[in-house]
Amino acid sequence: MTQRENFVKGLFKENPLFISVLGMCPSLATTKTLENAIGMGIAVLFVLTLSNLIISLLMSNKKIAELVKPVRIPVYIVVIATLVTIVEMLTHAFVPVLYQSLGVFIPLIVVNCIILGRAEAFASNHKPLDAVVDGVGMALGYMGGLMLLALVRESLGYGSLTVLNQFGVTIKLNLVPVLNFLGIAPMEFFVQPAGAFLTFGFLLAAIVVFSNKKAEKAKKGSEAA
Amino acid sequence: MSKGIVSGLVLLTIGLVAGFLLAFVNSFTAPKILAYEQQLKYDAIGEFYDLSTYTITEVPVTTGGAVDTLYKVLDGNTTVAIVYSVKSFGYQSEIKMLIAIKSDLTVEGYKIVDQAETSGYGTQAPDHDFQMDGVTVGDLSTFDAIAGVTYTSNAVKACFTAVFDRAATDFGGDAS
Repeated sequence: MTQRENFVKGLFKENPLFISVLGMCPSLATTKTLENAIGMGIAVLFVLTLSNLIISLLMSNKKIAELVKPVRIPVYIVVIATLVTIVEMLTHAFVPVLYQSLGVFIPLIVVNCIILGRAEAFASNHKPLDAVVDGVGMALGYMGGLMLLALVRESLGYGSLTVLNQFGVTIKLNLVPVLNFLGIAPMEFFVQPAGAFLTFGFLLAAIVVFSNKKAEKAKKGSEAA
Repeated sequence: MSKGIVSGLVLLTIGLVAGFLLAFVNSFTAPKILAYEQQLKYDAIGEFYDLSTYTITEVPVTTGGAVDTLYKVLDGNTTVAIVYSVKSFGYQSEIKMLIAIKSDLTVEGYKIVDQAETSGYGTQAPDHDFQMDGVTVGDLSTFDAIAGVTYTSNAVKACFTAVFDRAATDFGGDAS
């Protein structure tokens, strides 16, 4: 597998959110606004990249790997929890508004199965560089998924798209006129938990239909050849 | 050495490294977090009182209870008002309020500074007019709860009660 394939697989073929359906709890809860989704994505990017790097460094050294192997899951958890706590402290100190809106879901990254899953399935038996590339790809794939969810939910639920609302700077796209033009009012249903499930279901269905069509085409192409 | 002990030591080492790392990060984030929370409170107090004409002294309450800090608003040497930082548990979160009592023992104003109540229900509280502006300390008869938001309203009420219970003594001690 080339480095490029390694990176791209996290974005599409093995997208953690839409293909593996991992880390559902925070993804449904933090996608109320685009800004939250981006913030959560960056937090996961930081944790996943560094945890993949550290775990891969630990496990690629034969001597250390032998010592760590019997207690590897606790070791992963300690590494991940440390990184998450660092992220939590940093967000609390430097982006307090985001910290308030993400709330409990930052500490809950510890038990996000994407991170533990990548640690056990990939980082522990690959070289550090590969693990980092994989981590970045996976995290960006996750972030993209979150942003897609937030895009649908915020535009339909609040009639706006918030990119940034920190440090007194607000970059916000007001979509209410567009919704008015279409003759619909913002539906608060979409920013509530049930709306998250519905949105996610529709997106998942759309992606399955799309990939099925693609697979069918590829099959026909190979039959014709 | 048995395998279990080795594994334990490995875990201990990693834990220690992690601990030191966290302590390091905490050393520079903790003051910032504290300053931010302080800033929030002063911003809220600033809505009631012009901070350029009044000075504010902070008196922490160590005896426990709902009230955790008193902010005495001083004009020169006389206490014009006391802003109470008070908290009470609502339906699913702690509600933190600031309640300002004037020296004639009437409510000058109040503000909910922090809550994480149920979206759409308890979250109405910060914008709700509880009809408590200007009432005399101890009088809760005008208190207007939010329909369908009993737990949160009760918590707000408990905040007022806690402040009313001690307001007279706080001013009394000061006036003498």
